[in-house]
Amino acid sequence: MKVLVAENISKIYRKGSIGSGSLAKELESGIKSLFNKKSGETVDKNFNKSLDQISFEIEEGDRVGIIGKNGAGKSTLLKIISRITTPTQGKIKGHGRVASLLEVGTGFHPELTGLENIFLNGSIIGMKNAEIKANLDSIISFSGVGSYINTPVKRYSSGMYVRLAFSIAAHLQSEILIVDEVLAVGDLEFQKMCLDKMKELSLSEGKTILFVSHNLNSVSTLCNNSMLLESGKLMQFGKTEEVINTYIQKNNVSKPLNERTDIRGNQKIRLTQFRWFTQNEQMVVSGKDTFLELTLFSSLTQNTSVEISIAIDHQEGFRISIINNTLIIENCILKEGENKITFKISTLPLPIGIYPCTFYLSSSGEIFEWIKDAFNLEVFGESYYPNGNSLPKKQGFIYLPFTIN
Amino acid sequence: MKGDWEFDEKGNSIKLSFKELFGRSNLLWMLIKRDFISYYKQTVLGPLWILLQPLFSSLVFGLVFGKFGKFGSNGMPISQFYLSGFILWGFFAECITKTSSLFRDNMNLFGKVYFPRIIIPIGIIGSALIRLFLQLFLLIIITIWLSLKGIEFEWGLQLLFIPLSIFMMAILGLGIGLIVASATTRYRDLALIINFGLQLLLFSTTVIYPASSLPYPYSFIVELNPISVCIDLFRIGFGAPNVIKLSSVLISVSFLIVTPILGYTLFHKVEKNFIDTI
Repeated sequence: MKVLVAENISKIYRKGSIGSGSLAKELESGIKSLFNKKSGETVDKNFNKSLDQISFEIEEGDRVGIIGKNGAGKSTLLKIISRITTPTQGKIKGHGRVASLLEVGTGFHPELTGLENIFLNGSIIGMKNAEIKANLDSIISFSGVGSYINTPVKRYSSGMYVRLAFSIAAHLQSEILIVDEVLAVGDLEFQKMCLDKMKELSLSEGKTILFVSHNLNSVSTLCNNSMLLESGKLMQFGKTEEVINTYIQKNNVSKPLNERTDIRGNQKIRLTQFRWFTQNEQMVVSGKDTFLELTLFSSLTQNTSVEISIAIDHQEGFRISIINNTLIIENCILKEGENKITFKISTLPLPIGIYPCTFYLSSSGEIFEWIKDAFNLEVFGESYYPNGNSLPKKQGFIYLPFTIN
Repeated sequence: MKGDWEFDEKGNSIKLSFKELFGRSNLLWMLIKRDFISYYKQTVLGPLWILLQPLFSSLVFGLVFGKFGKFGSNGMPISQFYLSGFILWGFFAECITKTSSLFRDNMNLFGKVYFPRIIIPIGIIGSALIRLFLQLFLLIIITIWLSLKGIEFEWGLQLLFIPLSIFMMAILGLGIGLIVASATTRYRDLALIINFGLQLLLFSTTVIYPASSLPYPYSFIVELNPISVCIDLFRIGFGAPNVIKLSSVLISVSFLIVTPILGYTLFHKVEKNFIDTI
């Protein structure tokens, strides 16, 4: 049975300031829109389509992952499905209660105790009092908060806070559960517990789950189906494995190297392939030792000692750092034909994100190749600190290793 | 597929909002409870503040206007006159100030979870009502004490004016509050005006003096104010003579009809995607 159907939903945001707040501007835009209507112009360049004609159907008991880059429209889609905002066009229909967990502990009041907050948060997310009472013991034991249940939550550690909040949501008897990157917080053990719980809910109670995450690992563990969003459009909706593969392929290369026309240098030695990888998993995660394997093809007959430099940029445009064999006085000697060189970055200190990399290859003044934004380093998950905590959002772009004595 | 629920660019239908509202009474209670617990936690006097606020206001204004200014008190004992005025005024002011900032105060909640938004203003009125009832208790005690001291007080049908005036004040508070709340999401200036405006409004109502103590054109303005009507009605319940004119009643009734309808219509228009604009 279908439990959720979206028909052609679009969401259009106005760029720039909305509701200028001054009467003169309001009047001005009012008059403008009057003229726009006359000329029949509906789409203005000042408008940004955050979601573009998205349609899908979700079956009961499906666990659907939603993946895509930042700004692809994932959060907007969740907000519309959970009725926080309305679509600009289109329609959503559904069966049963929808519970959204776009944030853990929504409405938690710091002054109230854990127990009081269970009732408060429970009723905010849509539980009946009787339902909360019936599940109270189970909520408390799953959260592992134990004896702190009568302490105000402002004295909780962030881990306890999140565990309690998730525990409440997991006991909500809704038919559809919407989860947004909540699992980015909390320790690894707890994340696993959450995923298991969600899977269990879906399998045993037929609960439908929509799950947005940057962490492809979590998505592939939990979800049987996934959808890939790209700048507001639904690119693919199908088996999770296939969708994740598409996503990884799409984002690893900005443009295939052999199709690029902006390569500088004489190309006597060329970069033909590259691959980012980690020890066990395929996906790059901060905090893990990360390897970059370059395949270089040399058309020179003699062995050549080269300088290989990979500059890692931030998406906002500044250079984070470079890795370069001459910096650590390591000789790279390339023979004729194919060569494989592997760089290792220990405990990758970069948070989740996409980092364009510039490739530079030269030998004593002779430039073989210089490719701006040759490829991307994409970091899919974060587990830099041993407890699995990640940097708070907008609190920096690099992890520093530190200890306390 | 025919779903249990559906919605499109128009947001939730008014019918659906009300249907959902009735299923969420426990949320309403939790919000009221949260308001109370969080408000008085870590204060020394706690809920005693509910009683102290109108008492102090009455004391100061009673001294300045009633005693020194000799504005009179419509034949009521001064203490009763000022306390009744400030209790009902306090209720109104609380409804307005809290309702008008509800979008800003609940931005985080509205941005993360759906529930019928109208619960929030109803909860605000609800918790203001509870405070009002506690204060009413104080006023009744004072009334009994005054009648024991020999001031005549009739326990008759006029007591019905007390709940009526409270009901009218609640409707006005909700209606005006919703209008201001919806407008502030577009024009922030209104949020700044509201406190200041309430102070000024206080001086154009019969909270601090009877309309009869003012010279003609001014007394007329004060009488027409629907808030004055509520307050005078409230005082009639406590034994004051009737001073309400027909023209004032008509104005109040039209306010009572227009403000809640306009307020809800605006609120409904704003609630569906205010989160995109904030």
